Amino acid sequence: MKLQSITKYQLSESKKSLLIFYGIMFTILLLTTSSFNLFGSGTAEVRGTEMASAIFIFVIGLNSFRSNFLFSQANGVSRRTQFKGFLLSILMIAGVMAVIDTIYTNVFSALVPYLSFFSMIYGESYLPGSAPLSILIDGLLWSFFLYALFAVLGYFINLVYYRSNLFMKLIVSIVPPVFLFILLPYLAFIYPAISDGILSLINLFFGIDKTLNPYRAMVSFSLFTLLFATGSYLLMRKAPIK
Amino acid sequence: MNQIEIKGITKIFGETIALRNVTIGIAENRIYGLLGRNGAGKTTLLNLMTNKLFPTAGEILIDGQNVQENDQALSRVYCMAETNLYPENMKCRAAFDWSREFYPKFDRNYADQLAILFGLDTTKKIRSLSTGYQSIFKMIIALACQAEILLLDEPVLGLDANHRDLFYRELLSNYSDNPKTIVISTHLIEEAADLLEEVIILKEGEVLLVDHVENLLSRGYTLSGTSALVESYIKDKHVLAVESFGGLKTAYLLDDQKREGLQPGLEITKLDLQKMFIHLTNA
Amino acid sequence: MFMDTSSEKPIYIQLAEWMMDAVLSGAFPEESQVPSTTEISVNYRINPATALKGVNVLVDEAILYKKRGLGMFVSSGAKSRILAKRRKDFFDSYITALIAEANKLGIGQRDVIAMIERGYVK
Repeated sequence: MKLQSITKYQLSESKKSLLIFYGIMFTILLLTTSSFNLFGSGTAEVRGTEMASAIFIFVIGLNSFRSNFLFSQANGVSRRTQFKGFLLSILMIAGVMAVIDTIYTNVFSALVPYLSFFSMIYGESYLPGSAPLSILIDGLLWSFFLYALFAVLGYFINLVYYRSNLFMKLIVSIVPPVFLFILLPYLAFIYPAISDGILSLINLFFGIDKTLNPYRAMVSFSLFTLLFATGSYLLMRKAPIK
Repeated sequence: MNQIEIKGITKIFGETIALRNVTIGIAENRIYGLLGRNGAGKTTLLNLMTNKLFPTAGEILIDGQNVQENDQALSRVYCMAETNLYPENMKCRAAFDWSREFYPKFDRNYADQLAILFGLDTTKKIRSLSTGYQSIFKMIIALACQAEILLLDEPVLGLDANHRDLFYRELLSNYSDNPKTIVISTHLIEEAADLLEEVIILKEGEVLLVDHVENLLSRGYTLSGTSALVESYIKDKHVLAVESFGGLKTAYLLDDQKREGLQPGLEITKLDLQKMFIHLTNA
Repeated sequence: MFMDTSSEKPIYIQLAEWMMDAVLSGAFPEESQVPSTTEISVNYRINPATALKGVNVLVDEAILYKKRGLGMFVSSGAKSRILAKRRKDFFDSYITALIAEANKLGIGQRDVIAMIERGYVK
């Protein structure tokens, strides 16, 4: 069945990159561990490897549309099925990465001073007495939703570029970064109320306003993932071959 | 009912009308030639037939099912596109493996045999192949996938004469052993003419004619002789073109009427498909 | 190669005539197998339907017959049948036309016969 085949294909295309990524990660961790053991850690700490994985899967998403689209067209796969295949494959990859990351970071944290991103944000809400398993599972789930979001975001951006003509491409390349990094900070500087507003929104979505609630973050991530996925499909459904 | 029904297809790209109200019925298990000048709309039509593009108006049905976003209908068709749709980094034999995944009837042995026959090194990456060998690579997949409908867009692009000959032989052999519907879009009309059973001619985005090749050839002829005689003969007939050379004229006709009243001084000779095409699409 | 690209005759007719020539010359002996339509199609690069049409012309005229599961064979008596047909065609194409032309030029019957006899002497 075509859905199975295209999912298989999209998975296999990412296989190589995944191996390289984890090869690099393990090498870095190995080096870090051995140097800490040899020289002592001093004041150094290692933190937040989830971000590396998030960026990595973002890049996978970014590269997932175009070449898979052409390949799907060559093999008579509808856009709908290609999209479903992407979702299936990327969720699998996000899941696998979340599991691998949770495992090795926990092994790692036993060897060197290490704090995962998750622990950094939500660590305090887990009282020393509570089951160590819950922080493990919550961390895993949180990573999974984070990765899924980044992947679909990358895919969405890839699609925006694919469907845009030259003019649109320029707009899309210039306006968001300018807005985010120049305009918004400037406005926030003039109107502190804006930065307050943004901060409170972030706190709300990440579940770090009143209490530390990772589940709120997971819901937010899912919502945004759904948003970008829907946007991707809308851009994709009538995409012509170029 | 025709296997493929193209109904009222119009395709507009921005300001350009690539195809205008094209309606064609394609019967099962025949070899069709899709002919037309550059820009006539052949590739656009083939792309529409395989869900690569969406029509501005009209629909295309395969066995009664609309091809649009239809995995099932599309699994009956394989299109050998002019551009390469496979990842450049992929090795030929990996592409064969994946073709089997999407076209379960793909005959891997046959594909490997063809690769040897044409001298294709399947361990090579697709991007490292010359234009000719990229065509050969795509063509092997097309021949081996055993789809019921084969659409070939300029299949012999970049192939040397030997490989072209080999291709035609393999195509005919394949078609003889496993009848299928084949549509070949080509500029090499003279070469392909004898292979075709049916012909579709597109002109500037519209259907000029759809006919059996044999019928078309029997209606076409060349008439030459002295100007006055030729002029009077062709008066009431469907003439494609007339050429003058001194006091002699040559007329190219596509006409059903009986060839009577042929005076001495007038000579009738064959009008082959390529010449017929040129004169039909020149005007 | 049987194909005359300049001939007005449809390919399937040219094929049929070529096969008849081969029977006459003994290249396709009676009761022997002739190439299949696939072989003809691939070798001469013509559409299999065309090849089939040509072969069927000969089947209709009892020059070839089909042995199930084996292929097409030359019928016994095919040679004489072809010769008879050709004789008739010869009369229709040449003799009738010759007489018509002779009449047009005002050449009488006896003169025509004399001309023919002279032709044989050369």
